[in-house]
Amino acid sequence: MSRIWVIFSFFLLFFAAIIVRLFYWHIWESSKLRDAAAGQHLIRFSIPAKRGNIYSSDGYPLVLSKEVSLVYANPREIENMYEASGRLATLLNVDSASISALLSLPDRVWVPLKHKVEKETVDAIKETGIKGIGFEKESKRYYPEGSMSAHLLGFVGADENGFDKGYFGIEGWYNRELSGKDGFLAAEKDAHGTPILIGETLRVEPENGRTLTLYVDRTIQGIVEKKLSQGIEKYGAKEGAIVVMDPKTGGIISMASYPSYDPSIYTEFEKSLYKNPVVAGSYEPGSTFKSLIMAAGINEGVIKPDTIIDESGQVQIGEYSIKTWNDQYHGKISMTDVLKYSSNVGMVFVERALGEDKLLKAIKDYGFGKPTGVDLEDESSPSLRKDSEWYEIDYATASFGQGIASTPLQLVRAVSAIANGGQLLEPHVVKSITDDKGKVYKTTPKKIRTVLSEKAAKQVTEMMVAAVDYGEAKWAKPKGYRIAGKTGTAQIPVAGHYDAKKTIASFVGFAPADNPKFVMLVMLVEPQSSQWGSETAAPLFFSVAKDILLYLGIPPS
Amino acid sequence: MKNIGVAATILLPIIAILLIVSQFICTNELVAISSSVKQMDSEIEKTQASIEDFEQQIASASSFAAISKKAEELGFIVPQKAVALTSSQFTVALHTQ
Repeated sequence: MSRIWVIFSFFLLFFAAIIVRLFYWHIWESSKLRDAAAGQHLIRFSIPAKRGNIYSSDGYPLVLSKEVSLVYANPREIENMYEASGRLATLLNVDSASISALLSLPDRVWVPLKHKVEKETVDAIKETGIKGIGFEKESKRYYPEGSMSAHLLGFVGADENGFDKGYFGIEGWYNRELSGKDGFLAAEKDAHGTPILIGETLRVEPENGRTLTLYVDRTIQGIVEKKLSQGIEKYGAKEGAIVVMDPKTGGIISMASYPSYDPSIYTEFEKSLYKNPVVAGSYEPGSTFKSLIMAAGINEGVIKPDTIIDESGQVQIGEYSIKTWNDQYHGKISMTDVLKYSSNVGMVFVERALGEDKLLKAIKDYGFGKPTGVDLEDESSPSLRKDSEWYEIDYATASFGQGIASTPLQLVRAVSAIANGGQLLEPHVVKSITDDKGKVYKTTPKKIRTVLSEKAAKQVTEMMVAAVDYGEAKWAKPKGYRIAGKTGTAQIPVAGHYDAKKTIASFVGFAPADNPKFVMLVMLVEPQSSQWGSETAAPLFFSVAKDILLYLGIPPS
Repeated sequence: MKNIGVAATILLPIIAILLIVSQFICTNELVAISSSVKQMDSEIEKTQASIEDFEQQIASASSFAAISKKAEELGFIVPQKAVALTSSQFTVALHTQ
């Protein structure tokens, strides 16, 4: 009886072992074994997906994918190595020695000679009739407008495996959508690795990348880039940027900065130029910030546009003296005059009326200290100092835009809240995404929060209109248009102190003031002709605004 | 019984021959269809390539740089002032010389 149990146990264990082993092969290791088996009897060719195009809001292509080729060689099939090397080197514009070295590699049946070769060159190589040369389809980015919108678009480079990958801007942020999904062709192969003619094949079609349509208007972008370039030359600025946003949708209508680069030959430019200063740059907004703090004060009801203060001299805060930009004082002035004269002393009054907690809350509510969430890869936000590290002097200087850092886009977004009646929106560059099958996914405006009442926004708009009509830059304003705006001249902090001669001149505003079609910030770094925003950035703003208004068909009121 | 055997002897080869012939015809048809499908695929690919090529040519020809160059060649100049025409609710802003 015991022998039967022994044999029974033996069989039980034997079959259990088989079941465990089968489980291991069929379940646990199945995918690995399937891949290994496929690798032994299948040969796989990748069918690359076409990268999606990028269009402006008016339907013009900003980036297209162009068909190019990878030129490769099978050294065994090449008859005259030296002659072939010479001819290929000339046609491919590559060093002859490196081609010879590649073709002389022992036991190699496939050597890539050059990627992204244009069709004309491929045709010329075909005409030579050199045996053992093959071509594989690839795609390359083509920019009909050249370097226009380079910072906004980003560029396509290679990842660590040599595959195309988008970097910076839209190419970086939407890399997955633009790349699509590669397809493949799997065919049975023989022992030598040659595909079997009548063997089974499996073809999976590639899913091409999605097409992006931007809020960017090509004509406005053209105006902005041309005017920025002229402005930088005219005022002798080191750098400059202009950003134009639709205050009702948060859509970026135009974004340009200088110096820039050409995305089709990005490797020839310094890497420091790749980052978009509008979303990755940090600067002190200076007086352009005043309208925001003024709006916060009016929104909280602590001041009104006609509230009168006595601007009789400097304000002392501890060991620091706050003075006006020209050290001139106007006596009894209204809040509207505070913006008109760009009075730092007047802004300290607003800050004190508002109180430290409410001032800090307003700054945070406007979105400073946090990224805006714009769909551009290189966005970064300068952080605000910790709440516990704010001192009396910091609140005072923040009220007129010093000692606080922002990106140009953060400022434009905050001013948009004044223009659109108090709503803080998330900025967007992409308006819609169209997939391979033609289905369109639209971007809807995203409201973050209400930061101002409609009444407060309207009152501040009128104050900004007065600041333009009666302020320092009134001479440059296009006649007949109601434009709301504010100049700014921020000194650049260098090694713990401000350099009086180095400034960032800026102007932020929107037009038409009663029904704004755009909010725009113009920024010039270290202008040489004048350090003041009213004499450099403001005229440039008005010049761009005039062209945009005419383009949009908006007549003077 | 014998008649059935004779009939089978005659009919079966005829059926076999008919099947072989129909197989030939079908295969031939399939090859022709497959060939024309392949040709159509190739034509579609070529047409798509030409469409892309045309799109690039149009994009290049209508780029700002190309338009500005052409405008300069044709003698267009940058307008110096603007005029707005207003007629009841319709208003148009124009660039003028």
